[in-house]
Amino acid sequence: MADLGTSAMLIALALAVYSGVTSLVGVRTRNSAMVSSSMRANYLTAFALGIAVLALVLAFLRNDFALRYVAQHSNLAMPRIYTWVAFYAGNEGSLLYVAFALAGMAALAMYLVPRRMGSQRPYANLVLMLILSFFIAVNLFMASPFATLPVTPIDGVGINPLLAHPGMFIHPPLIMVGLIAIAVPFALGIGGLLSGRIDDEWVDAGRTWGLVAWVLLAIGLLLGAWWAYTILGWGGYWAWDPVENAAFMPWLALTAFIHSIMVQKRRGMFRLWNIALINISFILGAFGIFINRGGPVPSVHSFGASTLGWVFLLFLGVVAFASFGVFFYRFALLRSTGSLESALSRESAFLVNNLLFLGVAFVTLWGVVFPIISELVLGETITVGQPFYNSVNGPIFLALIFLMAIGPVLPWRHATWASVRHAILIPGIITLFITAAVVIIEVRNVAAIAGIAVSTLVAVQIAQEMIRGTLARHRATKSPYPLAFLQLVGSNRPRYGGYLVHLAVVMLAFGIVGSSFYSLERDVILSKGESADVGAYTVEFTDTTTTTFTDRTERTATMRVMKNGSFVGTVEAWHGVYPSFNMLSTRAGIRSTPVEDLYVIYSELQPDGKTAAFRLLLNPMVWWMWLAGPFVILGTVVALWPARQRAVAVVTSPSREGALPSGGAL
Amino acid sequence: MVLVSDFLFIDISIRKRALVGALLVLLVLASLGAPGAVRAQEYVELTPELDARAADLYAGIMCPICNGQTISQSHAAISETMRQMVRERLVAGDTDQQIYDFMTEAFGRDILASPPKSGIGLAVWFVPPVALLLGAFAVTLFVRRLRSADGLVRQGSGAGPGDLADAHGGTGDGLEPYLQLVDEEMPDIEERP
Repeated sequence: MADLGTSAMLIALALAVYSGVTSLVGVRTRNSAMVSSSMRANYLTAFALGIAVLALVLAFLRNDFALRYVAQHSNLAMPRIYTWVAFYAGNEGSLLYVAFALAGMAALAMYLVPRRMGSQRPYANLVLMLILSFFIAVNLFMASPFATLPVTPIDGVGINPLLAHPGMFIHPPLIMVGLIAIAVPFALGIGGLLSGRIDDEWVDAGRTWGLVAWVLLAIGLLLGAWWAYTILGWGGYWAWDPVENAAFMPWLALTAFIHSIMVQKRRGMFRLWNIALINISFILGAFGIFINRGGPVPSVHSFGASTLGWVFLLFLGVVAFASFGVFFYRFALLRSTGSLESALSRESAFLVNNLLFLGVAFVTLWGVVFPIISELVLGETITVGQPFYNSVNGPIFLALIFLMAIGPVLPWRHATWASVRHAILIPGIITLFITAAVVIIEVRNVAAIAGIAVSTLVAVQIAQEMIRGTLARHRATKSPYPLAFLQLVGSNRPRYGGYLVHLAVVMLAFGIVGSSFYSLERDVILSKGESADVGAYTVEFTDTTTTTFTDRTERTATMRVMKNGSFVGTVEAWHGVYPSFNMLSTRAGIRSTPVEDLYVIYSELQPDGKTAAFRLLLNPMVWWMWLAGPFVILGTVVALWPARQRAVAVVTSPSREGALPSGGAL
Repeated sequence: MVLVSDFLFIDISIRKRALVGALLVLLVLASLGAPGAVRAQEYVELTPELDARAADLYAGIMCPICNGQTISQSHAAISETMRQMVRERLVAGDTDQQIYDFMTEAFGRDILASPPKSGIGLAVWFVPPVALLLGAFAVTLFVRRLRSADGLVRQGSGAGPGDLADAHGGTGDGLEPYLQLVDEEMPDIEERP
């Protein structure tokens, strides 16, 4: 297996280098046969890496402990299904995974990019192959998963128990793919610049791949939050940990990009700015890979020590210099064609959006980098943690959510205050009532009230938009309401896909506000039969069972839950003690409802076997955060779905005269 | 073992201090005769109000030996001990600031989850708002420049066709099939000749 894997990777490296070189030479000498050859080499690179991946999977399945990587990350007792996780549990395997994912996306992107992009295509391929060659080379020569041990051990070390969770099947690979996927829109943008033909041709493909990277990161981040919530056992889901931040920052920059690119798509403006944004996104992505795989800062994600820090730091530096080097080299080409007609317009709203998203990214980067600077330059250790991020980023997020209520209803070019009023008058009134009700019921603090108010405003505004649209569509086409709604969504997919994602953001906001400001927490020690109160709930510790395995001791506590005195169910809180890892792994018992989660952590059993320590939490609205995930996916799919055929448009056209005059405020 | 963090000279002193802190706690515990985590009979129970304050305090104090976790998150024995210390101070009637001071006295300043608003820590808090203001200023300048360019370049150009439908769509009732048809028939800008 070692030989097969190593040779496959060598071949992949040769193919990637060949593909890059022939792309460059082919496009310089206008040799289209050579460019075609480079594309075929690109496809074959993905194939060769696929074989290397297969070799490593087989090595795991056959318990081939001659391979150091296999011996380190699996053992005979490991269920075979965890091979999926063990594959990327260390640097060597995860790099192979990243290289394979990049090669697959590079092949797909080059295959799908329209031929009319002409010389932009080989240049984009050149950029992709340079990045890919770097990853394969590092993987092959510095951290090979196919390195062998001098003596084959009888059994392996095994997998880190924290990774043995369903969330770990998807969260890490999505984040890794998401980070590297930014290379594709980046290559399209920079490739276009290199070719010197920087018109707006890269915009569609750039937007599509930007959205792909964006949704991969978004779902990856959400799954990470869900994993943290259910298994890390502190009742939270986001800790502003450096590695979380490292994946979050490129996502923020990408969010700015997928909004801003719409301005170029519709109005031909912001060309310069969009290239700058995708550069920033990829640089932050490279920074993410450095933090994640290089391990320069202590983090909850420090699963394996790494010696590759300087390699990824170098990569980060080269990417930053090269991308902005090309940017300034071609600066003169990037003049925008459009112009701004009014400061109150969709274009300006997108600018403010960009400012705020980059603001959050900057604050986060500052928080990650400052301790490093402080330590290096001043010799003073400083921790920049949760309180800093919450109090600085919180207000920016509030402004962003408020902008979600205004921005989408502003027309392009120029809006009038009347049109703004028309769009948010009713939602504003409803929001006032709801906020007043919240204030009367319970005031926690100003931030919480503001969060609830802006989130409500956006939710009601989107609902109003969809109801008005559906009614108009129903009047015009006589379709039944559900069909009219679907037609409405189909009529402008980027817009309504965006609305669905905005709704998901509102759900997240409600969950975050609820759990940050209205959560109740109690640490209690209970003996069997004793109970403790948290909010309206009474939790009784009824029993605990202990199961001993070769590598761990598992305990499950059964808790009877009463709400306002009446029995509502039982929850089971679990923990496992892993002596060989010196580690306690918990899995919270959660009773989740749309209103609130009752969350029980079983932290310790006293030696008497009857008394145990628990942490009880009441987290309002968290349920909605996990619903946001499906909405994000759905919204992105809607936004990405290819434009429909003409035939459908004909169906909607007959009644157009009747509906014409009701144009409204414009 | 050579770690990248060693290469970057980052958390060496964190570790050293953690060691000192851990030793200190061991000493305290040894003097109390408690060999590990907090025992049930010693556990300081709090009223719900104090529990809420304790939760905030836990989230503001880092576990000195865990990678990037606060004592609210970590299951390490030292975190359990530190939580107990916080609870004892709360019961004794200390203010939040007094408790933070007490904890930094014992474990070092870097256990604070966010830097104090003084000394070097001030820079951490000061820079982001300044950067945001500068950004807002830049955007304002940019909008102004684009608008003045508008006067010169686009004199008299009426509303372009491409986004008419979308513009009306923004008011909520511009979804009429007519406008929609206009929108469909108008290509995006890059498809125009």
